[in-house]
Amino acid sequence: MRVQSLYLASHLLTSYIRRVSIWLTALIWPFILSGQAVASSVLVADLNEKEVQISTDFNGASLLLFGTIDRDIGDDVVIIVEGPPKDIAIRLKSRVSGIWINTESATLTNTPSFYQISSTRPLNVIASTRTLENLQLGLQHLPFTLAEGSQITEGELADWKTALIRNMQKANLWNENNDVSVRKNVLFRSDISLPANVLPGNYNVRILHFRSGELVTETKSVIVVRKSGLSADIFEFAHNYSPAYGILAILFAVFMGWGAARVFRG
Amino acid sequence: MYIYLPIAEISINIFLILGLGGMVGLLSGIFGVGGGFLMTPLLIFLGVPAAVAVGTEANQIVAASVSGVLAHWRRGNVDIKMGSILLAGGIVGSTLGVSIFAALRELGQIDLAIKLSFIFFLGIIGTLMLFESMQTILRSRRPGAKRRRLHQHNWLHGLPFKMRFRKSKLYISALLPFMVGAVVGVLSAIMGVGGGFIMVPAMIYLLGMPTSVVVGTSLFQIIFVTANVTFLQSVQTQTVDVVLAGLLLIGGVIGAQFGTRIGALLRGEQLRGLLALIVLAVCLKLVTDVIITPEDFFSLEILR
Repeated sequence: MRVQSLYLASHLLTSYIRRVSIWLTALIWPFILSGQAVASSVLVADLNEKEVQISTDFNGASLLLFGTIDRDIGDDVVIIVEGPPKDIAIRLKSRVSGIWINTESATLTNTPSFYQISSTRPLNVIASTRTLENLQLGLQHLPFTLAEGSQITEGELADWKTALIRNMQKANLWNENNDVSVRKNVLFRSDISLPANVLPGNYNVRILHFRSGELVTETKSVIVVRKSGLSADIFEFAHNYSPAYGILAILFAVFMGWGAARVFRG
Repeated sequence: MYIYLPIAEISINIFLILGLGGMVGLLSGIFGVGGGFLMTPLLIFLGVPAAVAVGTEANQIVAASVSGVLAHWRRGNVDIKMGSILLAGGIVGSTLGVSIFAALRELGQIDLAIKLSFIFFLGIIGTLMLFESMQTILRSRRPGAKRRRLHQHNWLHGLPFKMRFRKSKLYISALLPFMVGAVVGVLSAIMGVGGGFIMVPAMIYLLGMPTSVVVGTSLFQIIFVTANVTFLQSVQTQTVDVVLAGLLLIGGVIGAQFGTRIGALLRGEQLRGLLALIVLAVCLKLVTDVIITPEDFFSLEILR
């Protein structure tokens, strides 16, 4: 118990120090930049971590994105984090003789498995619907591509799209917020929270600078989410050497069962 | 404390899993059933993908059954000959079952298929067992009651390939236990259960085996059938999560040891009556799940 609380305290301390140092670095940045020939718009951003390890004790991760911007009053920052694209099956239940059954289904191709869009103000205040549509910004404007052979009619499409957004939000995989904070008109920061059910892969981060409804500058970064440690080894082994994995799983179970019976007999 | 399950690919509270294993293990020890009929629905409810719950349960039941069978083995309560015939059917059935499982998963109907199978079998067996055990209990309380015959004879006893099973005091067609084994094997693979809750009543009522050898013999064959399912699911669907299975069986084997002791103190008909009530409770819960209007008519699955 004591060791645990000590561990916790030291963990909190290191993360605090890390956060403070990030703020300090970020605060100094504009002064470094001001010495240089400044372009019409300067956008610098960084992450406190660029790699997330899904190890045995993984239960989601929280990252800090921060940077500086050459900002006029009223300018906006939009930060998009997009996870690896996947196919997603949506199923609709209806009542058939008293029981709820999946009666219709559709598969979406190339849909981001994770999508977080954070901005300084609500998106519809920042830019026009047309601009947002063109840049595919916001949950409403994400591509919605049905796989071939889908039987959904045009009229139903809107319902399915809202169902997708609603369910992805419920799973904490999609999220739209205006939590980007700006200090002293130059320094911005935003939290990126990856839930425990994120998939491994490359997470593309885009930081956009909007001025009077138009995109001025854009900069990019990548977060790599990968499995590591024992859980990665087990996953690899199960997929690459499945017969051996099956046999080992059985032997392990027999050994455990036999061992337990012996222990309890004595 | 959370742990990331490598195959299920979710993060889950470690004590929740240990507790679940212990509770189900206790029941499995008392009644001589694998406990999968409780564990599989509970795992799915906790957010473990249905396919992983089924594949992993098979692996966990191997351990729970090994642990449980040893106590019965020492008391000589295992009919190996009968067990082997049941097992031959079980291997055929479970191999077929894994293929059916994969096909249903493809159609997006596996969750419903699992639930409806549970409702159907738990409902019938729970009701039958409850009535039978109540009758036996009532009859035994009446003074001077006649002793029931060992088993009734019917057309099933006219089937060919007759065999003598000494330990079970039976002379019946080998086709009978083979068919029982095969049917239970299919269900074992689809529902992620050992099949004890179907096997035990089938052995008592259909085959007419004495209650004393039923539990040990069913555990004996469950070990091999679930080992077969573990292997096939590992190869075909990669849905066996050894970390999850390990945690469940740490809780499970401990629970099972206590359960076996409690089970030895209870009489056969009391045991069956109690199991019937648990079976019916799970069935009722599943029925409400299927008929209550869902919160959201839509559901998602991220395909890998």
